Amino acid sequence: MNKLKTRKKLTVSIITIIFLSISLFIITFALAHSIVSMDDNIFHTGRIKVNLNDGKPVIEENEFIFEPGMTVEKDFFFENQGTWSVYYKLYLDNVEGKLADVLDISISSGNTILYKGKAKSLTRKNNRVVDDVLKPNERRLLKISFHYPKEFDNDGQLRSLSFDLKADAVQTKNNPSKLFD
Amino acid sequence: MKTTKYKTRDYSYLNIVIIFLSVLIVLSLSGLAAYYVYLHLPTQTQEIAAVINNKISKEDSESKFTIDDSSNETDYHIVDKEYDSSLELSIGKHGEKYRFEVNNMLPGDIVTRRFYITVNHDIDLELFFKTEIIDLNKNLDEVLYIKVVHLETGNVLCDAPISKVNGREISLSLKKNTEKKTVASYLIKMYLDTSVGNEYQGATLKTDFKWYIKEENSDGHFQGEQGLIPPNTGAISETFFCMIVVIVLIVLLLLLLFGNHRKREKQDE
Repeated sequence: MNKLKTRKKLTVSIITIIFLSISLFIITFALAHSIVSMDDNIFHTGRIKVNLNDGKPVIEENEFIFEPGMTVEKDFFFENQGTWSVYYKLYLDNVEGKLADVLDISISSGNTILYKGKAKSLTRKNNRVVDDVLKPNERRLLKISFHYPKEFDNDGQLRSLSFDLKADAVQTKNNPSKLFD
Repeated sequence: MKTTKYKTRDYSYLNIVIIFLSVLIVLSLSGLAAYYVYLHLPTQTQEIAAVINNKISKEDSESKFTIDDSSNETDYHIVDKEYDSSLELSIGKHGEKYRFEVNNMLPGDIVTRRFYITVNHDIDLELFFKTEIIDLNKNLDEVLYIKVVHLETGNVLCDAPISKVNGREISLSLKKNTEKKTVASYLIKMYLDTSVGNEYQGATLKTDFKWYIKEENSDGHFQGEQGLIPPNTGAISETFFCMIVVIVLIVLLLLLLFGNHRKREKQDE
């Protein structure tokens, strides 16, 4: 009986010591580390990201067979998927085919014509920045028009045109001069 | 007979250990209580001011990203206190949000904060400032610049990418004076140059800022590192945790004493 009692006392005492030691450690830790540095200064950069027609061509091969006087209009969109407003410009790149000197191409937004000319003239260097600001998550519905002038008559027969339609976008913030480079 | 004596001795050793630990805990608790009472002294509160408004998000207007726009700067005071003949630093009260929390940072953006460190001292000291990057991706530290200016003199203490400053001690000499006090004002400016490229989009950097003092030996070397204590961001949670521990501890000690008392009573019977 005495043995059992003694063991119980010992067990209780040991448990108490362990608990007191842990408590002492915690309180000492609290004392020492209640003094802390200025933590967690966070800096996170934004994104400039745009979506031009989901990457899909605005006109497919052999979709139309152009004839003098014919005009084809195709819709496409340009969307800001970044975190800040952007300036943008559209242009044609990798222009090939003899119809590049024949077809009159125009790109418009609503009733406003943004660009107009032959395919070879609508380059990145030639095209100016659109007088517009696209806010985050905003989408512009645009139209590209291809017109085969009547005066070219049969000059465009058996000719083709291929091109890449591209868009450049740059942040509006800290960029009053609308610089792209 | 021998066995009984041995076991009795063990039991008394355990009692001594328990008493010793209890005494240590009481002393620690007293120190902790005194510390938190000191934090809540009226003079401490009056000397500390923090203007909270330093979060920048994509909804904010562009006008907030200007240099030295005092309406958008956050002032933060760290107060230290001198104990007897040794230099000791402690935490002052602070506003809820004093740290940099910058979202949607773009090339050309500039964010500034001012920090006022009050040091009570009667000897010449060096006040050190250091950054410690704790999280980083896309090497943002190579293009995120930090400029630290000592406002009293206008001296630029550093102006470089934070990668070059990280972990480096930036010192400021504090001379003893008749007031036995020096207020060192720091302007910290974080900025991205307009030339920063697209590869740094969606990047993150997290850093700690630390101030501390070293005492100069007679041979000109600095010894020790005494922490200058900025605001305790987790003060509330730490206090709550310590209170729980204290309550549990008191209950346990009471149970222990009560149990011993009951045993003595039974023995007497």
